[in-house]
Amino acid sequence: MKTPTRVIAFIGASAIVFSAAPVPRAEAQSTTTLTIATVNNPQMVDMQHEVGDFEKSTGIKVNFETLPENTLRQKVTADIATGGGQFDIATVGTYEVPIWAKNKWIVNLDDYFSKLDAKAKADYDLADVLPSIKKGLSYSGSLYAVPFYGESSMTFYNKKLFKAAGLTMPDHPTWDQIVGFAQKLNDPSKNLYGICLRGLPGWGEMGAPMSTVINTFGGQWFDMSWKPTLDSGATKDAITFYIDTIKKYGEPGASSAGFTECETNFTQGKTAIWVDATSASGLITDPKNSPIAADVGFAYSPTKVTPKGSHWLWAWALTVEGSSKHKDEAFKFLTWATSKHYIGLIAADRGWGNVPPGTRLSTFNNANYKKAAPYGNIILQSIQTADPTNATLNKVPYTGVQFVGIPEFQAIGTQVTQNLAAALTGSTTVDAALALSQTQVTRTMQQAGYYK
Amino acid sequence: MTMARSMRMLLIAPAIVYLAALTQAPFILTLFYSFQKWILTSPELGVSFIGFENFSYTLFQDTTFRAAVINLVIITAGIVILSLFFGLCLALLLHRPFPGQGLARSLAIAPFFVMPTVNAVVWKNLLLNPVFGFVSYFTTHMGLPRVDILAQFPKLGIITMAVWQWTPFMMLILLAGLQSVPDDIREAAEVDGANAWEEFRNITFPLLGPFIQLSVLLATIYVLQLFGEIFVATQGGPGSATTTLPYYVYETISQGNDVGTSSAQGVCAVILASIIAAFLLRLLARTFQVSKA
Repeated sequence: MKTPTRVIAFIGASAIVFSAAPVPRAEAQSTTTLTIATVNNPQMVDMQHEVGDFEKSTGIKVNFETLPENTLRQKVTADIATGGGQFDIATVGTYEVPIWAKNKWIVNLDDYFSKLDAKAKADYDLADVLPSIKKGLSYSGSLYAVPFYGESSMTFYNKKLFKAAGLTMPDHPTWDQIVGFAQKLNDPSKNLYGICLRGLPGWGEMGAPMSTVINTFGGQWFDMSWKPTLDSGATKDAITFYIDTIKKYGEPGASSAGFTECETNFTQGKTAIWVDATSASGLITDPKNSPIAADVGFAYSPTKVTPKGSHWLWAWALTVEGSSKHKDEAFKFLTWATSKHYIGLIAADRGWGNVPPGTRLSTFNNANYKKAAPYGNIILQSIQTADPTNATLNKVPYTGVQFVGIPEFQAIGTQVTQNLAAALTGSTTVDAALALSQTQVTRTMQQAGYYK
Repeated sequence: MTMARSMRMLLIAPAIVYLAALTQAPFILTLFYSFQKWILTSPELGVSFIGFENFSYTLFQDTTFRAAVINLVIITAGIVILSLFFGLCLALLLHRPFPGQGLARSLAIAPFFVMPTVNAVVWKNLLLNPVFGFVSYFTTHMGLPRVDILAQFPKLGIITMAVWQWTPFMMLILLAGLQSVPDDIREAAEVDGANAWEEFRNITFPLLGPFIQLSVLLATIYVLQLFGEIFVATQGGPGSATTTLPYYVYETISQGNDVGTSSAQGVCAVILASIIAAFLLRLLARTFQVSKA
């Protein structure tokens, strides 16, 4: 009695195991499947919903691997650096593209664009893509990724709170003016705070707005011989200003406040001013998500000594990995996901307020978009004037507005912002944090071979 | 060696070789990489053998590594000791039968099944957030200042989250231990006139010895690897206040993309964990040896 049952169980189990194992198919009959590594932004979620349109028109299947930003970066870096070949397409930002292009990890798209026929070229209209964004995604004059969405940074403010205090926000405020407003509107006893600025450690979190403050104060991360300049001059003044402003008029819990926390504080009416990414504009003016949707005011990002580098440049872009075995199909997907046709799809399904912003001039000039996003002009001007090759008062050896375009910056930026977060909570002083940062950054640069 | 003995060894050799390779291969590879210099995002620097340089930097020059080790010891000790204390209290309370005992026990066990990252998210945003959180709500309504626990007392915040999660674990083991204490000994003590505290101190607690040993050892092994709460709630900050060794290794490999240094840190972590485990075993054995005598 026992033996037959055991035999049946064994056969059943092996049947299940072997049916789950991949059966090799003949090459000629296979449909290509592209694997794309992506972040979980709302725009990417929309892309996953619309992918049926691409699969139907080309017969290529697409497999999405969604990961949080830091994990995505790490996984794709490890995959590419070790030649894993797990992904065909990766979502990358303006930080990675020049570095990975230099390492020959991603494909030069100029060759693929030149092979398009005249109609396809005209349909795609590469000239429509904003030049500054293209510049951020190029290396040695060639384009290596196509932007999926682009952003800069700007000032948001609560018009109701400003009116109640009798204040007016100028279109192009200075940091001194912003601090003045924050001081007048700061009222901790009523759980109201003057300004919300990111304090969460991370080169892409606190590092981004703080770097724009460094730039506009006339400072820089490194001098021309790659020595860090954190603890002296304009850079030190800028960082001290940033930390002090948050401590005096900023949100409590600043050292764990990133984009999301500040957005919550602002939309809940607890903060009067917020300087952050232009892509937040869609979220904070959506009545479904934001109780203060009707009271949001917009202005350019604040400046101090120079407008250069006062607002950042970032784009999430799609790129083809060098180890991909389906480069032509991957390029088809790239051009589909960033085409005018795709933007039209999103507009039809989700409304013009939710189209991927900041990539094409035609989007900004579209009448429907202008109606849905009246602040669009500030965003367009900000993106067009953000130049990663000219973002500082003095000459620097690096490119990038809110980051330094070297592979070591991930570690450096995170380390420095970690130290500054301790200064933010008061467990150390800004001077001590900057002194420690100088030592750590110098060591990292030495290890990486920039100097002995 | 006889023929039979060597035959036996030969027959089980494949299984042992396979097991050894499977379990030791990752560590051997880590050891191999710890002697190399390999930075993933700088392929132009190549992969080169540099001997003990990674180790000498990690152990003698890296101040953050030292801070990470100290934080690890403080945070682990805090979590294990506090959850042992609260687990013991809960076990004592839930030991006697009362109406609703089954339900109370199930509710008390529930925190252990929450995933660490979920646990951290709820604590960070719902409870500890200084603007929106419940803790701030209560402190401000009692007239106390608005406290940002994760910024001012980050270690306390992390320890609190983890203690909430590990108390049920301690409680379960100690409950089993309490139920193994024979009733006749306790009745005899009652007859002799011992009050509740004396009975606990001289009878129950010593007999719980093996169970406390087991729970402390198991909990220490797992809590040493605590990562989810730190990653979600404080990201090792502010500064390096809550950077423990596992989190520091993660930072080195994922932010710095430095395979060599992170492997060296990993090897040091293994050695440290072995030392802690050996020390703990000896300490526990001694404690309960003395009280038994």
